[in-house]
Amino acid sequence: MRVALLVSCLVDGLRPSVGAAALKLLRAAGCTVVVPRAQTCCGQPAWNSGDRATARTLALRVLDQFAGVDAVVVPSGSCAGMVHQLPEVLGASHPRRAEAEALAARCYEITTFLVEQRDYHPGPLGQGQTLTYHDSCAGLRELGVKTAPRILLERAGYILVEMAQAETCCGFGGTFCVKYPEISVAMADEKLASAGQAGASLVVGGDVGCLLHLAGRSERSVAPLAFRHVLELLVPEREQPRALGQGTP
Amino acid sequence: MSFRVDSQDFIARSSDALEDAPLQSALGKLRMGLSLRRREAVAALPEFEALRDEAAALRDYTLATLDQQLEAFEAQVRARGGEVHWAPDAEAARRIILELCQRYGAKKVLKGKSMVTEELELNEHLEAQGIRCVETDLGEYIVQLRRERPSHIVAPAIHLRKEDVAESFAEHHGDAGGRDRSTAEALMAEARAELRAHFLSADVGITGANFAIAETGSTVIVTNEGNGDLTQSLPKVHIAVTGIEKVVPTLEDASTLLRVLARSATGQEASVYTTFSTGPRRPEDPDGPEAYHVVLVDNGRSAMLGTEFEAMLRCIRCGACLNHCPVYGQVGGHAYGSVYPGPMGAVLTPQLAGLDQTVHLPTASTFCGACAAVCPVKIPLPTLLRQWRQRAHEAELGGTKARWLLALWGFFAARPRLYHAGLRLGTRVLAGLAGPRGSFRRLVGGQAWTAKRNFPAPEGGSFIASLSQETFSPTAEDRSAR
Amino acid sequence: MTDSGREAVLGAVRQALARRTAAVGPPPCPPSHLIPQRAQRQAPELHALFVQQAQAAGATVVSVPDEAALAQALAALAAEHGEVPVVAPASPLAKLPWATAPALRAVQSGDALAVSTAVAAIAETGSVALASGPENPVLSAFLPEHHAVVVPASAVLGPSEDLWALLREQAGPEGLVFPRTLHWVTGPSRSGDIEMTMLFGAHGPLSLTLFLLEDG
Ligand code: SF4
Repeated sequence: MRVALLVSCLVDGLRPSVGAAALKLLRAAGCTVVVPRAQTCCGQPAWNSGDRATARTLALRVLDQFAGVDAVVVPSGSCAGMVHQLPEVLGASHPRRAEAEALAARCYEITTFLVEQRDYHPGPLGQGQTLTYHDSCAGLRELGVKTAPRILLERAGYILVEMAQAETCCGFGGTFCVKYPEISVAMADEKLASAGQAGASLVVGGDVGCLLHLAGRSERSVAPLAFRHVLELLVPEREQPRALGQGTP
Repeated sequence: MSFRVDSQDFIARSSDALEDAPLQSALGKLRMGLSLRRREAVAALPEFEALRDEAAALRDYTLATLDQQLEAFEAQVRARGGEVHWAPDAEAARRIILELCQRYGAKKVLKGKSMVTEELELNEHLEAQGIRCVETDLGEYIVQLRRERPSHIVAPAIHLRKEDVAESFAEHHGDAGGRDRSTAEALMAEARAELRAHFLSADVGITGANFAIAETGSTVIVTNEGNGDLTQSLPKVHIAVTGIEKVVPTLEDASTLLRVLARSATGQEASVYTTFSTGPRRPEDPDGPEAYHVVLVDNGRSAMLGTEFEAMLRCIRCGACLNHCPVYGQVGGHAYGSVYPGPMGAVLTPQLAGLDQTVHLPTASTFCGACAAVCPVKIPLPTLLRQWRQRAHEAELGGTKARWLLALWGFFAARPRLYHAGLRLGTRVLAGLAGPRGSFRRLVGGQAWTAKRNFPAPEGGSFIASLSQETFSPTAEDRSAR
Repeated sequence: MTDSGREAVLGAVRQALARRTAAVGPPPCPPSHLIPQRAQRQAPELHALFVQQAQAAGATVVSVPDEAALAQALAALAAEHGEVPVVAPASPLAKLPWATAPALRAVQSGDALAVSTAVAAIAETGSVALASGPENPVLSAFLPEHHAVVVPASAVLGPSEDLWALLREQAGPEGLVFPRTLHWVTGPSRSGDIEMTMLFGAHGPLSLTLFLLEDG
């Protein structure tokens, strides 16, 4: 199966090892992977800010770059959710609407893709390490990403403890986190408290944006937690970057 | 437009709310309590999801035939001895209700809980004309004593502690006999006794309506306390005030909507009192009002019909979107500066008050989608909020700095070479600056992020830039494997 | 004034609907009405469901075999508060074989117990349906401290739709005969308005007792 990796701008710039892990896992799952070089961003910040014109320009670029593959795979529920909205971005009468619909139909969040399309079993990596999972909103509610990351983590030998507020928004929300920083941080605090109560020191999620926000807030607390993208935990330890939330500025 | 909002101060008000410890403890209870109750009620009814689809379809059908439904409703009310009044806007509605009160020589008016009359600011208006208005729903009564607005469309006093209520009661009821005001029970008993006296001495009872049934000309109210029934049964006149969108075609349609309403609002299988009012009392009836009036209020509603905001008219005011909204859960209802707060309010308020006054409301959402996931009539609230953002963008209402940054980013994102070169350089510089510390406590121009959060440093370099040529254009072998 | 309001509102609605039809086409068909499985049971499971749901809503349910037992039970309930039950003079309950006479008058604020009769019970939600009229003053359900409702066992229906079906069967040439007020009462009055603590007896009665009368 030939798949294209839509790496997402946050992974590309801030957490490239998540991209490397995605590439490796897709290959291990038997896919031929292309990474379109001219990809930049799916246009979500513009779309969610009401800038439809810019969102459209970028949507058309996505259509150009991700044509001609069997599947488009994204290590972010949020960006995968955006690709699913591209038909709406273009509008009902746009000449390339059908193309956008076809792209949306073959676009997957990566953990769902690995479990449902490839039945992928990672090797034993977790060694009984305990963690808790944060469900990012777009993946959860737009795409139904709930069990797939948990299945992969458990297959790899990690022990999952659920927090009560796993499905509550962490307060990142793209530009929301800088437009309304106080509310955003108050939401993070609630999430962090819930994660703390679950008794795991490692918080795992499927979206780098949420993780940066939570990690940055957690570092200001007395007992910071560690944060990782789910893919980081599905490759051997030596290939993992330093966990987020462990900074000492 | 005559709809009072104080939404420009959203940021300041929300900051105050976040600092307000008693409010935060009240909101904590709300966040935990009502969503849990709803979840249990939904789990107990396997057909709930299918009922949501039905309810949404039913509301859409009604809206698409709204003129016929309204006319049928009017004809039925008249046939059964009631009167229908049509109010194109808030001013007309206030005038109609005032004239009715004057027609019956009313000095004291009882109010059942009604969000439409909050929207109309009816109490202020009637009181200015010398007519005393007494809110009878416990929560509404409390906020009325405090001269506040409701902070939630279902639970108006959700922002208060019992100590606050005790204080207001002491101020207004006096302290005869050193009353015990230490428990919620005692406070409720006190309100019950105070309000009984009002019930027995009022001239007109004004209620809202959860639904208006075209088939029978009935208005329906759904309550737990019984105040609405006393309000509409004891005085000699009953006036039901409702939005034009609240009409439903048949009794069966009301049954369907009632199934999803109580569960979504409070997690009850059914509210305690579901009351269908049809015309004035019959000649042989021993009690009930002698006159029955329905005021149908448009006030911006028809302007949403047939537009991208039409789905908002499906709303049955259950409050579930407030109870599940993480932003509402942090800042409470008053921060929104509108009688309609939370997600539903963030869509409705700009329509009622104009977007220029309310531009924060659609923006102050993470688009987490929790509201749409619970809405019993499946209103795509985030989509509607995004549509307001598009209008705000077109009208250049957002902050100029944000617009500028967005444009800059859009420029680079459409030029991949420049974008990737810049990204590689920028992330390398940041990674180098952070060094082994791995995080920033401060960033030039990044105050909005770093005031209360560190900024985790990038790993350095970009993923795309690190790839070898083959990854971009797969080998012939890969192609044939396809 | 009112008429110009009518034209303005209906005119605006019609204009909007024309806009709507142009954009999305004609209105969809009215939806079907899904009735939850649980409401589609038959007696005796239906009775069990009614009792269970009414109790879950905070009501007390008492089964009585006949009218004599009913009169006795009602008198006993009122006696707990040192009074006799208040019954509307036109109510069929006035003719029960009372050992001690009830108060045959309109209910007043502060009365200990008033008694109503239900036209139907809705098992799905544990509600009783009260139709206002000379036999059933509205205020009996709201003014007393405690409220009792007599439900003939044969009047227990599944979903509320069955009540509407019943009304349609009884419809005359003028259409549905509808009381001024139809109430569904589900448990005693309550409020959660102070700190979300659910408390009984907000404005209406502090307790609700349902007497399920076996009527053979
Ligand atoms: S928008 Fe939906 S969830 Fe919110 S109040 Fe209206 S019906 Fe309830």
